[in-house]
Amino acid sequence: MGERPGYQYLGSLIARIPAEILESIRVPQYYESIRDAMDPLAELVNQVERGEHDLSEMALMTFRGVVEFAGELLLTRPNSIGAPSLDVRDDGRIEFEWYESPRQVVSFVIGPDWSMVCSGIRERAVMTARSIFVGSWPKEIVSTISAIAD
Amino acid sequence: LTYSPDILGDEESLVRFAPERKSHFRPSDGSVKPKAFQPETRVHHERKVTETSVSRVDGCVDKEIWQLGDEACRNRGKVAQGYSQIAISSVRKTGLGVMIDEPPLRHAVINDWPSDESEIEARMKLLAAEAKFVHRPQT
Repeated sequence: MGERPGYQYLGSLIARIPAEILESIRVPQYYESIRDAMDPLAELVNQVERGEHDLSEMALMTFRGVVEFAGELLLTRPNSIGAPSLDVRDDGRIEFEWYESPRQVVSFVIGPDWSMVCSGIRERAVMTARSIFVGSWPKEIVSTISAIAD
Repeated sequence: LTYSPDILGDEESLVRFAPERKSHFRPSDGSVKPKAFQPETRVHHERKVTETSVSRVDGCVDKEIWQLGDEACRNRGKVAQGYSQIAISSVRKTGLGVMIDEPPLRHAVINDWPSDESEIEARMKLLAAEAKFVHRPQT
């Protein structure tokens, strides 16, 4: 598992955690929680690198450009929001989705400019929001997800 | 039959072919993913148009449907693995339009997409909620 591209990325993220933080916590436990959070991204990276999503060269560049952003989002996900499922769009952007049923679903798509384009439906009701990530999940995005995802 | 070459009736259905099964439907419940209806923006007569390419298959036998699908997926070097099917009335209920766009034969586009990206995403979800996925039979 350690040789797979997604886990290489995971390892690079952990390497960026300041030493004083690592020393102040129980590392194996922390590593496990990070690994759990990052697993969907690691799996998506592996699928894309294996060519399972048939991305064009340009889409691949976009995808590789947003993977780090996706990792930051997974590591900073508010506790009030459940874990999303991840998918990649044909243009290489990554989608975070909370799916209950075809008529109750909310997601956002992230771009290389660290933008988040969010939309959700609950029956015929529609909610939308968009924002830029600057270190924490934007309130308008969190409230849109919370309003639709159970 | 609900197919008439020059008229797009509410009862007619449209299909969006999928070159990859996993990209357009959820194995967990068989539902269609919104990204099946992701529109593309292209330049047409020197102006940008945002459209989702679809096919009109009412009145076609299965073999003809898959021929249309293979043609639609050819530019990606693929054959059709399935399609998402939706009634024109459902498309129009979301505020989107449908326009005949031949050639190729039986080709149409879903148009009148909003300019705001989050509104586009919401309409993709509304379309997916009304669509069903049909798998290509294994031969």
